[in-house]
Amino acid sequence: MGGASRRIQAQLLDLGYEDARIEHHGGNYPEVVVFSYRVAGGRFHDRVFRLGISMGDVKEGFPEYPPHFLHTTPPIESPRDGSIHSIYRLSGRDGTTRRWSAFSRPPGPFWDRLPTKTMEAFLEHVRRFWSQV
Amino acid sequence: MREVVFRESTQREASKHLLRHFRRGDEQEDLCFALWRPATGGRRTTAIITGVVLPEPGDTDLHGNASFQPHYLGRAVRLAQRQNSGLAFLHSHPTPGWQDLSGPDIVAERDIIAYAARPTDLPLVGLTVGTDGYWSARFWTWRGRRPRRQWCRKVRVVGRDRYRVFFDDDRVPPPPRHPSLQRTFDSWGERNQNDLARLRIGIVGLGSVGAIVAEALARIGVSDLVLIDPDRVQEHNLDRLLYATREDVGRPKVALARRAARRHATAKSVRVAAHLRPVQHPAAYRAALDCDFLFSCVDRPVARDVLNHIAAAHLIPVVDGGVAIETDSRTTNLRSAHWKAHLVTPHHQCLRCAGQYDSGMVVTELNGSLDDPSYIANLPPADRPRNENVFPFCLSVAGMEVQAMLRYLIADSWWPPVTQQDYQFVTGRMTLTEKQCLPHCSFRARAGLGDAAVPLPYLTRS
Repeated sequence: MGGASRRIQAQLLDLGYEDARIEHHGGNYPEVVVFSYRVAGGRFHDRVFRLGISMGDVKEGFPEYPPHFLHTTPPIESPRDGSIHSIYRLSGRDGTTRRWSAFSRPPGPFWDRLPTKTMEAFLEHVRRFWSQV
Repeated sequence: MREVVFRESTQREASKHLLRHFRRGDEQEDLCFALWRPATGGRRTTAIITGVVLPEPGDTDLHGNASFQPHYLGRAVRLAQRQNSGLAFLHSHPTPGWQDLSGPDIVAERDIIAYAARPTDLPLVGLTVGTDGYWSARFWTWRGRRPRRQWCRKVRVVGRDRYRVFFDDDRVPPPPRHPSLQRTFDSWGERNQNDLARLRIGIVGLGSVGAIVAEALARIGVSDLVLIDPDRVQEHNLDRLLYATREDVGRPKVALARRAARRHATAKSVRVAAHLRPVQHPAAYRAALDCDFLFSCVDRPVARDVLNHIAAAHLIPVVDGGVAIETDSRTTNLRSAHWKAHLVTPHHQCLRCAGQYDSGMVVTELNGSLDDPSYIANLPPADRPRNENVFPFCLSVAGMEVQAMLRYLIADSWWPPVTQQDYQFVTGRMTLTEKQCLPHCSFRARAGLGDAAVPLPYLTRS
């Protein structure tokens, strides 16, 4: 397991996302940190999703390098901005199969301008994602 | 091969102390200790002098020559150990130019200081400065039970306005002056030409801009080139790639540039190393660390991130540049074009703070997305990578990059600094700027740390 996912998970736990855990989604997303997230704003306002955050194949480097992909289940089939990376299915340990959408959403220069690069700051980027998607 | 590099501020502090008596007209040598960190390339180990340990009252005895008390040496060694650094011994000589060692100098360095420095697990580095501020250096490495002296070929000083390189003319003789370089010698003088000709210069990216940079360097007599590019010539490169013909489609760009550089070199003998790999590949990365100067002629964020790291951590100056073209989406006519070149060292704004890439795009490239047509097609139009370019614009940006290097190497003390240039094609206006990094820029924090700098997380994956 890479250090980046562990650090992301630890910071999410510190921020109160108590169900944050690392899942293996395979393919381009070997490790995804998944947690329950209530959307504030945008067309999905107040809905609760399982949200995933991942670095893709990059296993180290966080926080200097930001997470790349945002994952959601249930999937968002028709995002407004076209930045969808894939829609995939994942079988859980309980035998259920969920459909996920993954978005390529690196935070851009915003991340490099932060004095302190944390998941708290990244969640601001996530909040903007939900207002646009 | 072993060499030494200073940041200008560290060099100035050391010179000020060591030459203070000569500058007052007294024939008095002086000495001090310093700390260094290793920067390891494929063929070269460089000692980066990170700080000077100046003597306190009672630490030294000055009597024409200079000597030190054992407690001063002990203090310097303990400091080096605490900072995971090596020990350097610096002293001045009453003559100008590259300095040899006298018998007493050898005894002091080999038989006293090298033994005391052994707990640092790094060689002792000895440096001498002449009355003209010219530095010479050697390493004392251990072979069995005796320290062995290895002379450095050069000492580099990375400054804000000027890059100074002090060569040992015996080990790296200046190239002979011959008619094919007559006009070049006449233009900036023998000393500048001799410095330029003996540098090892790397070009990362041998596309439309890099190929022209390679041609310029070969023409002005550079004798040691390192070319790094993983790509092969494609048909759509032919309108911009110097020397590429239809017969070259499929050939490595570095092979093409190497062939041209060898044919057109004005140096009597020229060495051109070609690496058909991305600069983040460990072998290509090490080759880049062997260079004295690097050109960033790339358009990918990972390569720029690597070069940004090298410029900061390893004190190898980088000149980066690029062309941006905007077209009218309706008519496809050119709406605007600008190109820029900028110098990157710890004294100048880094590539990331200058907006040449961002770390999110580094991760995106590492995940393969920038090579995925479906990913690019899904991006909003404003975020899609842009590839518009034409040969005349490449000529301009390549010229700008080479001139930025030349200016940095040959600048006189009265020349104003020019580190960032931006030319607007439509208005014909050149803008000069000298911006600095953000206060929390992580590249500032790794300046001069060499191998000890936080490693790039993706280097070992390649």
